[in-house]
Amino acid sequence: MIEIRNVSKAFDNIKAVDDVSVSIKENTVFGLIGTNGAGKSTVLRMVAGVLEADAGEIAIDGLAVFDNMEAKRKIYFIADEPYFFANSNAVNIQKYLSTIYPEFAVEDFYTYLVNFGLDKKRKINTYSKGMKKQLALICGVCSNTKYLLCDETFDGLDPVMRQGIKSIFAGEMERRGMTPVIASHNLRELEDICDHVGLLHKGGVLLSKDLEDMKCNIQKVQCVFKTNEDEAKVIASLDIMKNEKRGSLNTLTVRGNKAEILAIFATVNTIFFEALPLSLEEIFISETEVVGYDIKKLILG
Amino acid sequence: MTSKNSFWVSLIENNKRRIWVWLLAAFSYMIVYPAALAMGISRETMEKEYLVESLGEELGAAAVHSQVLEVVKAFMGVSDVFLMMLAAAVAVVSAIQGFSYLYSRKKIDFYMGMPVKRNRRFAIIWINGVLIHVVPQLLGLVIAGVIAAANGAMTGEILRESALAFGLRLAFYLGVYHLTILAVMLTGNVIITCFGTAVFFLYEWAVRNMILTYEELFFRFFSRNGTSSNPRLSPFAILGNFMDQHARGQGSALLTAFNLLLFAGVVLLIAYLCYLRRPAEAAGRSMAFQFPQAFIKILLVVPAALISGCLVGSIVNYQPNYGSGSVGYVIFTMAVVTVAASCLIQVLYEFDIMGLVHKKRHILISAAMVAVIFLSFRMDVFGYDDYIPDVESVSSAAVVPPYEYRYYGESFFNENMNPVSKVRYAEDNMYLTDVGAVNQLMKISVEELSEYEDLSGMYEDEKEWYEVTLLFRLKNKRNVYRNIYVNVNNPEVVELLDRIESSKEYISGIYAAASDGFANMLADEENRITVYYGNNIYENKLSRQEARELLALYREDIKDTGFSKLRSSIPAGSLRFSIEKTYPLYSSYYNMEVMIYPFFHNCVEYLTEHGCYMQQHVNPQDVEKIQITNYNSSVSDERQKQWRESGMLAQAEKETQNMDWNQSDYWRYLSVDKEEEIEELCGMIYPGDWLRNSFHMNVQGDWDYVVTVYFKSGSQAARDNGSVGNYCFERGKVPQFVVDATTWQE
Repeated sequence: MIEIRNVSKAFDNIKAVDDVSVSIKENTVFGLIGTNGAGKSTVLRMVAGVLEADAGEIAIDGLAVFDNMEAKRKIYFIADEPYFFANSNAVNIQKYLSTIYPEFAVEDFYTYLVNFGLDKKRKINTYSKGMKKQLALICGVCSNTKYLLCDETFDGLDPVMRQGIKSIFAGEMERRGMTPVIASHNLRELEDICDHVGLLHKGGVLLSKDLEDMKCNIQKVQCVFKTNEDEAKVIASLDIMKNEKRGSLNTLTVRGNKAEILAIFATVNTIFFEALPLSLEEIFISETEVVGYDIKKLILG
Repeated sequence: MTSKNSFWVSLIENNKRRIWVWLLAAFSYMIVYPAALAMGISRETMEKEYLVESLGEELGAAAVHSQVLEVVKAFMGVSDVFLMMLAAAVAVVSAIQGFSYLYSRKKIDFYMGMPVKRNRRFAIIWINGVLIHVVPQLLGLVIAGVIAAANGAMTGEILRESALAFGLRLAFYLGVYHLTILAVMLTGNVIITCFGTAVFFLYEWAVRNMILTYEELFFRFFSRNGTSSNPRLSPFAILGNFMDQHARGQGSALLTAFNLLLFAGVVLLIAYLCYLRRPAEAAGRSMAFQFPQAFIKILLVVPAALISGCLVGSIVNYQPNYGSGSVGYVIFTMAVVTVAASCLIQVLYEFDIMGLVHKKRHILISAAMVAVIFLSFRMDVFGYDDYIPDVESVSSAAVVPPYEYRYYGESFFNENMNPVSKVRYAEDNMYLTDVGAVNQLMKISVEELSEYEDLSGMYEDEKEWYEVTLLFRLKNKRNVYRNIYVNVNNPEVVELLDRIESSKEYISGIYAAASDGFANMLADEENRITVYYGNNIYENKLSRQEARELLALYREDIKDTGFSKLRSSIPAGSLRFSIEKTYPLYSSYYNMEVMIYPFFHNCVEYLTEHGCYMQQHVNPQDVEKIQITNYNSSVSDERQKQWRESGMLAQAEKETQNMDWNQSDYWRYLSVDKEEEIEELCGMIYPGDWLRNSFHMNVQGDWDYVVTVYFKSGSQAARDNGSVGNYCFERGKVPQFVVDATTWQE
């Protein structure tokens, strides 16, 4: 488990991370969401042991990470702009990483290269931005470290590639319990990958929740009530986070279990009723609005 | 899981990314250096013909071999500056390239995210930086050794010295390498690192020079002798001092290597600590650490302002000792530079033009420091000019007269026959025990000069001033140098100078040609020395044997000399030693010209016996005619003065122009071709530059007369000098018939 406790970091008297506390459980995909400048990269760089926190503690499976090789061996960090040696190719990188990570999966590395259509002999500086990110992800996965820290790594990857990476992650999580931590400013990119999401804003954590929990506990319903009494009865019975009414059509975002909510609706007469799936974006909008933030401005621009 | 094996793998992996530095080192050490050696050897062997011609087949070949050995020794030995400079260049490049990942956030994220200990990464880069120097240089030395051996110039001694030089170079390399690493650790991008490296190498030198310049500017009796602008905290200075000592046959390469290693070790420790403390976020910034920024800025701004003040002072001829120039320009410059430099550095710190208006407090602190330092020099707060060492505190002294005009030059050589300055020669050889005379000489100088508000006034008097350097060796091992001005018209001064200059210690301390070292140099046939006796017109080449004999007599004659005696005499001729010093890639020529006076009886006798001595400076038998021009400048000057006083400026101006174009009406000519007149004149004329009033010659030529002597074709004078010779009369001793015939009359 990665534990971040009351961590702060400032650059030239500007606070980049302010008293952040987050726990990242093993064997989950953790998404770190935030606007540009929210402190995502700084948090990841501190978790990777690149930066030293000004205050607070960061522990990887109970080990302080900064300048601690035992802790660092559990982590592979893919920076937002991954670095590869000048004039090197994938083979050079594999050889180098094999000296650093003794459990580097060489065979898997070359298999992934073939699967992703990357030429192992081609100079990396001739790769496209997306190809470099793919290579960086392959390196990270094949390093066989327990934690894989990805800073904006999915930016620019097409949906097919994202799906491919997702299935690799799933496989590795199942095989050896890998825990990817993915930072992104784009909520939509993480929706289909993450299990748990932390939202950073202005250096602090707005919320950190399990995605499934959030999905299970929030429902979206569209309905047209037969009578006003029916409407009043349902509204009184539900924990409504948001209610939009256009004409007679009610769109309700409701906190609670789906079965319980359906049971309540079953007690009244409705002309039209439909339970809709919620996107991660909608869940976030709802959750953050509750605590007084306009998430659209924060995440979606 | 990091093993020794992975350490070596990392070492190799790191080297893969430093291939171009390896290539640079290989090119420098394995191609440039051996090629330079081969060129040096080739140059010496090409001169074989000359040596065979002058020394004979066997001796000539031996001399060539000896010189090739010298070249090889110079290239492979401890004094090889060329290879040292190559090493310095490689060290700077290697240090910056090796740790350049610290400049890039991308690279920092990559490397520091890896489970590699920081000390291990430092060690890997450091070791590779050393290998980049050691391996190609060893190979280069092997190639150079093969070249030397192929030319028959590899000896056990050269091998030993080469090994010693290799060690010294490694220590020097480490010094430069570590200093550059420190610059990398303190900065965040390559441009600022280069600037920082230059500051490390030049800062102390610049500050020392600045202090010397201010001392020279404000102190009347300041002497640069005994001072040095060589930094102490620099591998270049440690090596430079050794080279200097080595040229004089002193200094220990081992001790120097130890000092360099000590320096390198301390710097490496500081650099390593900085490396450990260096925040990753320093990448791309100008300075890696925040806390020393203000301190560094002030340390740069203050000398920059003071140095700029010096520069502008020299442009506006600001010389407070001579009451010249205005201090306003200097103060204005210092103020402007203080503000500008402080703002500029802040802009660099912040990489933001708005930095111009930040940290104004630093400007005020810097300005205050500049003012305090400037005023401390101007007001001589530390009493430099007032200090005259007590006789009791001085163990010995030296008095160094000014350089005097010689047609061919006044050179001095140390015991290893390397050229040194006159002061350096005296410093090494003159140990006057009559400290009281020297002390008194300085007291008189201080007292006499105290009459003048500034030194410009002293030249307006009738007094005859000369600048003399004094050295007081204090009993506490400290040396005090002062440049004083002595008035040789003051009988008390003359008496003191007579006391000093007739002493054995003075004679052995200033007459370099009379030294054992020079006699030995002349005795060694391999030294390229050509000896002449003459008077700038006539020139008799002496054989080495004759030169040795004459030098031995000179060494006897010089014992009986003194200030007044020299000053009242006119040299009969000069003995000139033309010395060619060969260096690996070039030759230098030096002339040691020794004046022979009529009272040098042994020399005069020897020269007379060998037909070289001349009673007069031109042989009447050689003369076809003599033409004399009298400028009558006193008449001309007087007329111009009258015109100016009466307001006839245009006429005066015209007259001046005429004088410039040799068209003056006042010039009068006399052509002499009668034998008896020629004979009379020959006894009264001297070669053009012979009579120059100087510290040791109270005789002056009469420059109003130009004496042109036309030599007969085939005469010795015509052979030595060409068909015409320029001569002059001694002032006040122009023959009456010449005066009568050439004086302008209205």
